[in-house]
Amino acid sequence: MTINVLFFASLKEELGLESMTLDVHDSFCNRAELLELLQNKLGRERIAPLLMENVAIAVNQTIEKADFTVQTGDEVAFLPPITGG
Amino acid sequence: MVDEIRIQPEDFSYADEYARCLQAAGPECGAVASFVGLVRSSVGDSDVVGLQLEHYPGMTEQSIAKILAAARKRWDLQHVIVVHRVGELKPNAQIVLVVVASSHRPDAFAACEYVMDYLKTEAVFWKKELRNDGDAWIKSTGDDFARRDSWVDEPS
Repeated sequence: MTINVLFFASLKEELGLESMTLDVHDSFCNRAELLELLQNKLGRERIAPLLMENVAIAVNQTIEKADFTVQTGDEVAFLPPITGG
Repeated sequence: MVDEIRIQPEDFSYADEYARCLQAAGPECGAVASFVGLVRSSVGDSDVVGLQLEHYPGMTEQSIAKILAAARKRWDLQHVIVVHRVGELKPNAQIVLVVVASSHRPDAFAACEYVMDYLKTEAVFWKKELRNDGDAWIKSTGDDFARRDSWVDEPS
């Protein structure tokens, strides 16, 4: 199945990428697994900004603090710390 | 009437939004408080040539709706309008507008400040300062968090 991965603000700039589709093997996905899949696609160096502890992950626009599940077509976003309005 | 949250690249007219708020608030309205935030032209010794604002469509509106819902629990409000601009803004440009209508002045004043303090820390936006000495993504400051947290223990 396929999910849509989005990158925002500084992460978008550092990766040089706004969004991509990613094949995920089953319905379970956690942060480590997701990063591994991205590393296979983009390379270790390029995904380095995503490894920062203060980077949050949102699944379908809800922040996920622990493990999460995804379904095909889900939107998974990497968010750097927000600045506020 | 449902509160209004608008995220847009376009500038806004304070007079128009004030009129909209009055109309939506209805005849019982006794107080309107408002705030407009502008792009500063300098930070420390650096000149700011612009501010770049990014948001996450959908999630950003949700994050603001949550703030307004919390404000409505604390105060008696008739109508609230939040307009926030995104994209690249020049120094002195308007960034954000909050308009709050209530029957009474204390509720309008307090809710307007509360909404702004939470917008600064909880709303899903990213800001980059375009400066003469180099661009920089900016972070919420300790002062921003302290202002937000000042609401936590205060009785409403």
